[in-house]
Amino acid sequence: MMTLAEERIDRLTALAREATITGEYDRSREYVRLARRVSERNRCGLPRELKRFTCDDCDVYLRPGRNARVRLADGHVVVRCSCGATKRYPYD
Amino acid sequence: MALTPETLTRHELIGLHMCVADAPNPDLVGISGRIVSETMQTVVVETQGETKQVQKQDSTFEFCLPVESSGGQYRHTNTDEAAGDRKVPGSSSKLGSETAGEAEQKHPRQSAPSADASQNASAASLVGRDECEGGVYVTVDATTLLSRPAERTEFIGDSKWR
Repeated sequence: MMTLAEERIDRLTALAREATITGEYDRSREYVRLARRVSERNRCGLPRELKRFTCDDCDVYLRPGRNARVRLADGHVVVRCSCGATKRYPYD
Repeated sequence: MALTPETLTRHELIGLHMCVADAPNPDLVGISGRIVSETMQTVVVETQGETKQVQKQDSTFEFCLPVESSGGQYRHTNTDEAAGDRKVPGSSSKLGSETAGEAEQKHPRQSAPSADASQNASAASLVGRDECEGGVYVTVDATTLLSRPAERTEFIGDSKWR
């Protein structure tokens, strides 16, 4: 059973993705920040998608090919936001 | 905990279609569109390419909830099957003046001009209602939404860890 907070975060994830697709990056930032705030208030964590494909520096939802580039390196994946911040996650 | 009329005030409002049924500023009455942002005291509605910021205090909003049995536009719509047939209290399937009238009766302090404005609002929303066909309309006293957007989900009360 999904809690209300988790469902809210899920919905915000979808909204942030759509905002990035339509080029409204500031809206996307707003939704990602709200989702993070909800998750910390309710101690429920974030979905993996939101952990990996949001920028830690500017909070925008990352869409590879649009505002992010993804490179495969030795042992990890590198996701670089168009603002220049880099995020890495391991293969698993 | 799906998005139902009961959980609406604690759920995410962004992305829903909304119509302003009553507001202290008569110019705001009748604004309808998709909610794109929310602050502690206001809601930002996108109508025909422009955004309008409506205050929550002393306003009445009419929300259109997507019907979840028809697949839904959102992924997580697994409702309680046993409770599915129950008639949902406090909501109507049509956007009408009767629901707006009920909301007005709750606020006897409102004067006759605002009642006129509300009639205009329901007329205006009837024009633009095709965007959420088959949805459930819920009329909410927006003063109950006065909270920081991220903290609306929580139950208010003392934590046992305090």
